[in-house]
Amino acid sequence: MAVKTKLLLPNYFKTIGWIVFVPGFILMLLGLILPESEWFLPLNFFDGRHVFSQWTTFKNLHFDIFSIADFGGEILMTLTALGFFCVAFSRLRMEDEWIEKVRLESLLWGFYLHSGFFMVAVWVSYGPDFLAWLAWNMLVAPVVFLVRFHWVIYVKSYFEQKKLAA
Amino acid sequence: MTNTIHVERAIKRITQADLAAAVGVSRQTINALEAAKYVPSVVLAMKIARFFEKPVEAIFELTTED
Repeated sequence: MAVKTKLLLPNYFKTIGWIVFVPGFILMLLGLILPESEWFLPLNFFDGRHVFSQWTTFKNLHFDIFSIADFGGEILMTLTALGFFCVAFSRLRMEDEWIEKVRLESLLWGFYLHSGFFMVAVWVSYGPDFLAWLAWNMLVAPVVFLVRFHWVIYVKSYFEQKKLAA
Repeated sequence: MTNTIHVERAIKRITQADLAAAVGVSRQTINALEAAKYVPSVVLAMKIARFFEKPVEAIFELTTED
């Protein structure tokens, strides 16, 4: 085919991506939802004590009391982002021109909603709330992309096939 | 653009997956074509026409919206 797929990762990265992304994403959501509670993992992203909530990771890092809590959030976010990257940007088993089109459209959807949420955030929130909006908004583009892409390729396609067969 | 892929496939008694494999695309792409949700590239249109041993215009037809 005359479709350029050089910019995509090989297909097996998709499996690796799902394995890393799904647990990472769930833990990250829990870390965001349960900021102050005592939880089984030290992932209090918005805890004032936590280095992630400061301007830089290393500014307030005291190496004498270094613990996983200092880097838990960073490691988790990195894994989630890498996992998303692998899931989103690896080739399907049969990558062709229509799938390429759906991929690009879905990226556009993700970016539109991300931009929309940002504009809403600017007007409805302020201070720490604004930062919380921004943090949540980080997830909008990847999630919208993944949901829309897989919906069109697998779910919608399945129903259309049923309709055609009927 | 409309097409008669569904009909041609029925004549040949092949599935979407068979046609997809023959022209080197995914089954979902054939499905999108048959549902008129996607206008294929010239390369793909010609491959499909060649597979059915017909001219491209016998399978793909422009509509008034095109």
